[in-house]
Amino acid sequence: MSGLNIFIDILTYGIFIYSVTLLFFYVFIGLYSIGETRLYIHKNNFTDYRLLAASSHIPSVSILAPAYNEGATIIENVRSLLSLFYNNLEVIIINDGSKDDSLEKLIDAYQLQPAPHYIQYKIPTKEIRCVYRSKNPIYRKLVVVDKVNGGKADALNVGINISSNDYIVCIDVDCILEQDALLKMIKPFLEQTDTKVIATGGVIRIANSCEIRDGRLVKVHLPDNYWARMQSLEYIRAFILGRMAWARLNGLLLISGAFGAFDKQVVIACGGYNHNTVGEDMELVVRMRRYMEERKVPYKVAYIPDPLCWTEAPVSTRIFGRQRNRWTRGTIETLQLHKVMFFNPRYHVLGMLSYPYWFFFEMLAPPIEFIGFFVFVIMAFLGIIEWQMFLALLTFIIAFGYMYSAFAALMEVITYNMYRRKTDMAKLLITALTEPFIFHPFGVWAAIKGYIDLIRKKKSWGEMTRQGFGQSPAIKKQ
Amino acid sequence: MHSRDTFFRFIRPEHLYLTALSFIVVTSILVSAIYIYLYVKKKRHFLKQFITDKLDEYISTILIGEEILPDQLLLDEELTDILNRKSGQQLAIDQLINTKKNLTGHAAESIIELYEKLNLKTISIQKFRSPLWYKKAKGIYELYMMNQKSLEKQIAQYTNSNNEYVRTEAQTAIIGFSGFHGLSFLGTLSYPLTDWQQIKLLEQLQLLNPDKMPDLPLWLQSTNQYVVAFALKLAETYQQMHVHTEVVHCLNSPSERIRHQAILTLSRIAQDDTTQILKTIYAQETYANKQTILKQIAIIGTDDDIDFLINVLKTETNDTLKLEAVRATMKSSLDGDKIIAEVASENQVIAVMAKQINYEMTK
Repeated sequence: MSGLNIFIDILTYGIFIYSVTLLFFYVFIGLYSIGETRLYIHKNNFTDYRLLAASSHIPSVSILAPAYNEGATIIENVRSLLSLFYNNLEVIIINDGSKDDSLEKLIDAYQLQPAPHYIQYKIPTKEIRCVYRSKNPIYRKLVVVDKVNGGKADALNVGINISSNDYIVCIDVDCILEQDALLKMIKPFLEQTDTKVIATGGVIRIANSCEIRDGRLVKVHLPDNYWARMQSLEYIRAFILGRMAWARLNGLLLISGAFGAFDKQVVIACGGYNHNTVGEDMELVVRMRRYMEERKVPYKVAYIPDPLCWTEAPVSTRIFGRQRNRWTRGTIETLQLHKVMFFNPRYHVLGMLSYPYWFFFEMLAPPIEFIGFFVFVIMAFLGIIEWQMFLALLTFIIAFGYMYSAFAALMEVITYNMYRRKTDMAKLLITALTEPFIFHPFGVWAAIKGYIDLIRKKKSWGEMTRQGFGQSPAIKKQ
Repeated sequence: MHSRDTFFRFIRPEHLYLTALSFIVVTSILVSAIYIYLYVKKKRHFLKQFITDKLDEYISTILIGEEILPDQLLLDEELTDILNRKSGQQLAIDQLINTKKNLTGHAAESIIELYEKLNLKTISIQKFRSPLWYKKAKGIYELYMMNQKSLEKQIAQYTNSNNEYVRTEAQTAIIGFSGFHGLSFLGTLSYPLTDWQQIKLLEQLQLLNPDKMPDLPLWLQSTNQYVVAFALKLAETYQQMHVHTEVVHCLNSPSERIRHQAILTLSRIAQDDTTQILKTIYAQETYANKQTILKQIAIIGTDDDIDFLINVLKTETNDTLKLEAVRATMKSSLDGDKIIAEVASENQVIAVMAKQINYEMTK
């Protein structure tokens, strides 16, 4: 056997084993998530959240919402947060050195005045300029912090330092939350017995093209924009299947930065958000889990499949590419920071399953796919494999992808059925047909650029321009 | 070199095409299932709408025309047909429960009578008798929401069920039926009572007139830590002064959460020596409980506690505890401001803390 044969065998066997393992994981995740979602729906079938919304016995919660140049929508966003059903609530808006008029708008709209506040830097952060509270008692839940720009992680750490409550809910300020979102997110903490719940993640849904009035979601529509629509499908797959399965395994590594609830004491004990990574949301969850594992304290990260948080997805290739670039860098940085856990039995599911899965199938997937694709094309050109074989392999992978997407769409219809119109579902399924040719390759390319940027030591988030949900009370469709 | 010399000698394009074809067949089945589900859900939506409208009509007739009783109502044929179907029955039950949640008194009773007249109680009982936990729990829920007290004894048997959801629904049902007397299940409970369930029960009790809890001292000494925690909350909420001794005893519990709740309860049923007791345990308590003690002294403290608080300010290194001590000092004494001003003159940090507390107190 020639050296070339051995090389090609290693490459092809390697890619084959990798692909089969990945497909096996997808099938497992898809099927395993069903049980967790079913259990959740059965459990919450008759929970009356209204009874508890006004309770004085529910634990205190602080919402932490960093804002940077959000002047266009900040007033509506804050109003939406203040209207949530929850009795013991504090809403902390952290103005992260915005260059626009966000702060002035907040001061005017909510009658804010500087309030003396002793700031404890339990987690080191950039300087806080001022803490504001409202003169008007109807806004007593609101705290606005003005600070020197330091990035999202730093702003969230300021929020943690300022927060006076037991649980923190970290959100993107422009997200639209369902009215009972907080009660649902806090419930797992209150249901803990011997196992400490350290964090709860919520499902994020795409709000593009949805009807929003007075900071509330009125009607759900499938996004008109192709990129946003494709992300809707992607989010259904990721949240309804992926995260539910990992939650059932207690191996969840990521709670989206757009919406997550945390036990504040554990967050502080872990040192808060890491501002040296662009994947601060994932890094915090991994660090919290690692902290609990190392102290041998039984713990859990819970997940709520209800569509509780709606966010605006990038609609242009430029912004979408930046987002995926950042996610890739965040994943690599996080896994690098916690490499000690890689196949380390001391960390149980975290070390033996979650970390390796993320390493092989999230972090390495883009370069393997990228290289694999080109190697196969070259091999076909060189006649090492026949074109027919190349096309058969491609068909096999694409057909599997369609099947997985259709399964995710079915789960969505069976469970939450947010896109009720037949035409919406048809659009979603037709969009899925284009995924392997447009959306997916672009995502892989953006991830490869993420690798390149990481090698170049680029640390920035990249500007994330949003179109906004529209001004109240008009309905704006994208 | 040809593909038959490599890995591809084991796998042929036909194999891959065949597998891809099977994926496409499964995809087609899934897509068909999606549309079947969408159709079923849409039909269900219209059915729900129809049932809601019809039931609203009947409820309005009962509520407006006081002389008409639910058993005198004549149901139209279409609704009767629908209510003979399983899906229709469940939708009707859900609808009646939703309506009843917003009503009280005669109106609520009429809903219950309608539920019985439509023979929906039988459906709930069938669910209650199901071996499946989620059906059983749902059956219990429906029965207590429709105040079916005749089943109290049977439901009470499940208050210590090994299934968490059946157990919690049964506990809620018993409180719903018997109020404070229903709390007797605490005496035999051997499973956890989560904070969520405790809050739910407290909220449920809050809707009733307070009643005696003769077994409260026993619950406070229960071997089930969850029962002790809940009993402490009951003592706090209903200011059960007579269990002061038992609550003080809970301060020796090995569980930090029980001690925490005991501190909170003591401040609500405070006696002359309560702050002294709290001050005595302060040194050996955890950080979180130290914070709770200082917060409670801020509520029940007097001039007698100032020396202790000043000592905390001087000896504690943790700023959160210092902040709480400043707050407690300023709230416990009429001269609190002056005392703190004196300490603050030598300590800039205390001065900033005092400003914050002053602002909070004047708001």
